[in-house]
Amino acid sequence: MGNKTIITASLKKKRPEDSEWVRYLLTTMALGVVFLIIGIPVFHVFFRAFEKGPMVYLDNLFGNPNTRHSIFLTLSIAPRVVFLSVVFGVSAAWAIARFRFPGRTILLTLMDLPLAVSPVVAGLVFVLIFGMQGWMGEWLSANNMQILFGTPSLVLATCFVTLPYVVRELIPVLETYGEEEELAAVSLGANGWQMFWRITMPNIRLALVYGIILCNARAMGEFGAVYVVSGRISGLNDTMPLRVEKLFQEYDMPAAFALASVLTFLALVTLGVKTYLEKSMAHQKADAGEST
Amino acid sequence: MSISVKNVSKKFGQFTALDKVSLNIPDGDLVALLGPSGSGKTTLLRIIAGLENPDEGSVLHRDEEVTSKSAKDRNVGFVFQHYALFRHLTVFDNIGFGLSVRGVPKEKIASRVRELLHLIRLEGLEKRYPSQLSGGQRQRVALARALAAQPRVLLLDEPFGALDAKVRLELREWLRRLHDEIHVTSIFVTHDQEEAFAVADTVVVMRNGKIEQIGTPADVFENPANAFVMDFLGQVNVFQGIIADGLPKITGFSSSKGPPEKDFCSNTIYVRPYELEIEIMPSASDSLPAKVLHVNPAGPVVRIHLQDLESTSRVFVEVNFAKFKELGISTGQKVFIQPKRVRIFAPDYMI
Repeated sequence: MGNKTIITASLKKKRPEDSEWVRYLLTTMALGVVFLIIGIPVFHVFFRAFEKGPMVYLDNLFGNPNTRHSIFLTLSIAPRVVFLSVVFGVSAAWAIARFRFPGRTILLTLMDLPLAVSPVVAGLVFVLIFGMQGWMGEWLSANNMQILFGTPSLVLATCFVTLPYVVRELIPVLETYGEEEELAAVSLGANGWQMFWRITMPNIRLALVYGIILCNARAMGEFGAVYVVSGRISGLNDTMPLRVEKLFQEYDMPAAFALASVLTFLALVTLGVKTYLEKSMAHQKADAGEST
Repeated sequence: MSISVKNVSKKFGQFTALDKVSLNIPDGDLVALLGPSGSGKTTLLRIIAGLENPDEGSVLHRDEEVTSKSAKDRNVGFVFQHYALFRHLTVFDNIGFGLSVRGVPKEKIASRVRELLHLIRLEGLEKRYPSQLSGGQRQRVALARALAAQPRVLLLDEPFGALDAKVRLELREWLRRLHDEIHVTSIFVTHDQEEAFAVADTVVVMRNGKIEQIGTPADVFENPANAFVMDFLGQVNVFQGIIADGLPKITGFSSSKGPPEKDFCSNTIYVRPYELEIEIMPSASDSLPAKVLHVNPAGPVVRIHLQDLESTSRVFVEVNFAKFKELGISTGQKVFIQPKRVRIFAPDYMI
């Protein structure tokens, strides 16, 4: 993703064959579309949220215990999902980039499934597995365990949806750096743990943070999969996006927009960090290119 | 420390990289593994280092079996072809890495690193990052890093392959001097015969996963074991001849009267360019008539391209400048050639 900056740099050069009006037309169209379908709605969210002043805004957010709980729930699910995603992502990316094993291509393809399939389907799959009529439903209830309609199912469904982000960021980086430095570390007497933390980790650090950012953004915003597996009980298993929808359905517009503004704000912060990281990664890549 | 490799084989899929290779390297030797690409030399080096596992056979460091030990426990210094320096660490931390992972105290690491910086003549650059160094400097840092933990053996994979010609010459002389100073058993891989001869005590010539010949540079060059070694170690002229009365006779294809008799081991004769004599008048009845195609009189050795008038194949001769002056030959002239020394090998390899 770091090469985006390189692409824009090469487009900046004015190409002689394009006439002025083509350039202006295309640029205006691009800007117009972005303004219409991204700019106005984002602005609108904040406008409506703060319409009645900051006091009402804060009351909308923190006055209602159910809304408070939804914020708490989302902020507690996201870190768990990110943690699981990082553990799985680093191991899977490592296996795919460093080893050649049967089923590697299948694994690589399956890893993209969550990007291709509708999150609702993912949610349904979990209902089919853990629900009372599902494969494990009876066993689970016999052992007094509940996964569906509780935090475990929310984490699982969100994990499914966010699985590809960390892996997809890490594989290309691991492949670019190659394994020579790692082999060098081993030949110098480093054990696997030392090699990973001292050599691999510093090289993949930025890509990993980048993957975490994307994963976290997706985890906080996830609606479809969570909608299916959550019981949608206010104050119990409603996450922020679900709560926004519920408030909206209840015609509590100011509260819906207030909560939506928090989600939007988190997204904007994510974008800011992402842009900063992309620049750093482009830098790092340039350094890496120089030293090979 | 001495190194033994016994009957080592390694396959990558269908490709046989090493085929039952055995090799003994005495303590303190500087050995070159020489061969064309795909000959298995790098694979052999990596197996000795423990970076690759052999399918069969064993590796011994002194008398200790290390085949199943990982690279981490073998205490070898390995220098990678593209240096493989840790790009996020400074020169100082790169060199100190091997000591640091072994838990050596900081002050000891610092003094050892300083010692090595002096050895590689890069004092004052310890705070630089690899990307801020030239190719030759990086290679020296890689070497110092490999030497830091006082390895029992130093392994170098095409150590000068990625450097330009001048730096290459400097560094290989430096490596030779360094080895004379520290006497650690060293093995390096190269495909450049000149480099192998300039640096190594012992040259191991490899082809297709097998060792073709082991010997001192002089030995291998003067007495090549077969046509491949002869060809790989320098330029060579190939003549189709006949062998009569046990002596080789060079004749061209065109003048050969029928196929050579089957009793002879080979009718292919190999002659080094400097082992051919140019004559204005034939000194013997079997001198080969030839036409001068091109003369390159730059330097102390004059390189002359000739055309064998009987077989019309090209012949390459080297004579010293004085001899060239004495002959006074020029392009287009007809001369005769006579070999001073020829070699005939069992017919398993064709150039």
